[in-house]
Order: sequence, then structure tokens, then C-alpha cells
Amino acid sequence: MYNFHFISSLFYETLFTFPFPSFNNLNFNPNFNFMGLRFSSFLSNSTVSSGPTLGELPESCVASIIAYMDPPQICQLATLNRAFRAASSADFVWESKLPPNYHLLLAKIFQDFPINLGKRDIYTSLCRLNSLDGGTKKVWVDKGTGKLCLAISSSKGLSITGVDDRRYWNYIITEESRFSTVAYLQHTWWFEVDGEIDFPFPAGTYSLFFRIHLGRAYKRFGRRVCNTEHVHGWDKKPVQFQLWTSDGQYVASQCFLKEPGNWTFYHAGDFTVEDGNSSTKVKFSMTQIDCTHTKGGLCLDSAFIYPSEFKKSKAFLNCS
Amino acid sequence: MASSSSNLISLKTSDGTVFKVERALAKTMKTVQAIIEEADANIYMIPIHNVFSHHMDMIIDYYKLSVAGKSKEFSVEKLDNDELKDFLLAVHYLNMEDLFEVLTQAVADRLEKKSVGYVRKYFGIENDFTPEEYAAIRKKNDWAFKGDDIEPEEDEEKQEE
Repeated sequence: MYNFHFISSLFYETLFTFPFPSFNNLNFNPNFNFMGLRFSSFLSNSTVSSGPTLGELPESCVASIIAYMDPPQICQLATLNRAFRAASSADFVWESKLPPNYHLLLAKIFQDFPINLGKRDIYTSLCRLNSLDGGTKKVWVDKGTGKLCLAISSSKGLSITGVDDRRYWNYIITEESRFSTVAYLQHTWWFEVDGEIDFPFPAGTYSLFFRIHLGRAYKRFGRRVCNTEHVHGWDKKPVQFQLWTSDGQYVASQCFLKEPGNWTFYHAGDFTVEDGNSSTKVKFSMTQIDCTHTKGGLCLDSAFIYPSEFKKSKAFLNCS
Repeated sequence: MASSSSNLISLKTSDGTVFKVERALAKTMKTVQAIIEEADANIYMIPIHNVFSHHMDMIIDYYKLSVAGKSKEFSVEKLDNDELKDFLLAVHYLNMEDLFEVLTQAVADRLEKKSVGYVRKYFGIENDFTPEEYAAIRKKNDWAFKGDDIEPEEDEEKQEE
């Protein structure tokens, strides 16, 4: 917490240096420097204040005000002047923006995190697309909200039945994913994707999504083209989603996969984390194993875990 | 009459009004409290710069409400932006923690989601950056000026295994 005592000692110095109590007769510079902070004294005996501007507010005051704002606004205001820039780096401003269990997050994500890094730098580090588990997962804090997000790659992050059989599945390189490859399904009878994650999620409610694209996209002469000739079977029966947590939560749902040509987030279910001080284990699956029909022509990017409130606030999650 | 031996402290505002306040209220003003504690001699009256009688009125209102457990009822809505700024400066000067928190929250509420230009005008801030400094800080915080769906930056240092 910022220490206000230097302000009171500053006043004390002023008071006891000069004759007491007739302040209006003093000859001294009404603006002076103390510890690099400008301090203006207001020796007017008029009833209207002489128009002090908050432009001369000390850093501690500015920091106290901007601490109530969200990270984007704090960072915008850092461009106002030097005092705001300094205030916007104050530790206590960022302490409240960090996920409450950030110590656990740092330990899980980074091997050697420097211990004397300021809170703002910790926040910035957490907001990067951090790799986990050998690059098969990515975890980051959403810059604007301070909430944790996670992506699990279809390439070795998720467990796909039959993925090693090139008659059914292939990995294709793409720019349209946070990972460099996505899994492409030509056709199969048994469509099953399983995943699990063991991670210290901050307390809150999270939603799990699968990011899927019906059809295969590629670039031809710089333009995006989508080949949907192998897309089949998804309109016959819905896909089943299930989600389990280690503390006994369970949710199941189903829906039809649609909209060839577009990446779509399919909502698999929600789970709640009560206590961010321990690791939460989540298992989830997506299946379509009705063997009366084949299905195919599907690109599977990754599974995403986002804070549930993003369903409303983030347009890209136009949920199916 | 020495104020150290009575329960009332005399505070003289910048506009010359004398307020006799309870010791307990003076205690919430760390600036004033420091003076009382440091002074060996008896203090007749403590002048408080930057604080006007209308500020003291509000301070006393807040104090009465918080003693009654009703500090949440204290509102500065009726103050316009300049009056609020003035009051914040006065309370900051007096170093009154609780009321300072209330007022910084109130100022933050008024500035929430406002543009940088609005805040500059509200605070009367002059840009004291050199062009290089401004370019650097603007670049560092460029992400904050963009829209809603901010993509996280790639972690360039980490290698994918």
C-alpha cells in the first residue's frame, strides 16, 4: 500500500519552518520541490479556491484514482504525462488486476520467473500467449478483463481416436489457428475427441468450446478458398459433448455441426471453480459414434476454455 | 484555553472560519494528528491550508455518517467536477484515508470509459513528455487503444518443443 506519511511530514516541515500563525505575510516560493514532487501551497484567503489543477496531483493520488479503472484505460492514461505514466506502473494499481492466484499461475507457467518483477510486468507476462505442456497448450490472461483463457491443441493436446491413421486424419498447416497445425478428418465411422487439463484456474465459471471448421480452407492466389466436397454426415445425427471435473461436476449436451466454410466455436459445457488455490482437473469429450453413417470433411483446431462471461461479451464466440 | 486538554480541536480553514471538532474527527486527519503529536507546546488553533469551510462541512457530514455506520449514504453526486476535484485535493492534503478512498472512487467513476482527451481536460494535465518519450509510451500501450477483441501477443521467448 502506498505510504501517505511523507505527505504529512511535508506539511509539518512547512508549518514549523515559518512564523505561526500569520501565513499570509510569508515570503517564500509557493511552489517548491520535495522528493521530486511538486507541492503547491494555497495561501489565498479568498473564499474561492485559486483553481488548483489536479495536473499537479502527486503520483500517489493519481495512482489511487486510476487503480479503480480497467487495464486498457489505465494504459491509455499512461500517455497523459509523466506522473500518470509513473502512477500507471504502481504496484498496487496492478495488484488488484492480477488473477488472485497469480502466484500459482506463475509457478505453473514459468520455470524461472524473476521474483522482483513489478506487478505490471507480471500482468503483461501473463497476458502473453504462454506455452504449456511442451507447446500442446497455450494459456493467457485476457488483457482487458484480467481473466484466464486456455487453448488445447488438436495436435498432441487432444486425444483423437484414429488420428494416426492417415486414411482418416491428417494434420494440415494453417495460419488460422493459435497453433501451427489443425487436424483434418476425411471420413470416419467413429468420431471421438477427448481431452483433459489439470490447471490452477482462478475461481470463477468457465466455458469449454471446440473450434471447428467444416470444409478445408486453403489459399489460392492469395485468396481464401474453402473446399467442402468431403463434408458429409454431420446433418444426420448431432455431436455429443460431455464434461467432467474432479470435484464431481458433470454436464452433457448435443448439437448439430453446421456452417461449412466458417470457423465456429461449439459450446461443450460449463464448469465452476470455487477455489483458485488448488488445481482443477477437467475432462471433456466430443463424440459422434453412431456407426450407421460416416462423417467427415472437418477441421478441428483446438479446445478453448474461456470465462463464461465471454459468451456475452466477445463477438467471436457467437455460440452455436 | 489549550486544546490539548479539551476534547475539541480548533481548525481554521483557508477562508478564516474556525471549526471546533472532536478529537476523534481530528484523528482521522493524519496531517492534523501529526501536528498535534509533534507539538510540545499547546496549540491554540491549527490552520488547514487548501481546506475551505464548505469542505469542512462535508467532512463533518461524512464523519457523522460513518460514526453512525452509514458511510455508504455519503454522496458527492451534487458536486460538479471542479468542486469534486477541489474537495479531493483538500482531503488528500489532510490525509484522511477513508474519505480519500471514497473520493478517488467518485472521481474514477466520473472518468470511467472516458477518452484520454477528456481526462486530460478534466485534470488540466499538460503533456510533459518529450516527443520520443511520448512515442515510446504510446507504442508500449498501443494495444489499449484498439478495440475489444485484443489478441494476446505471441510468446517470442518460448520455443515450442
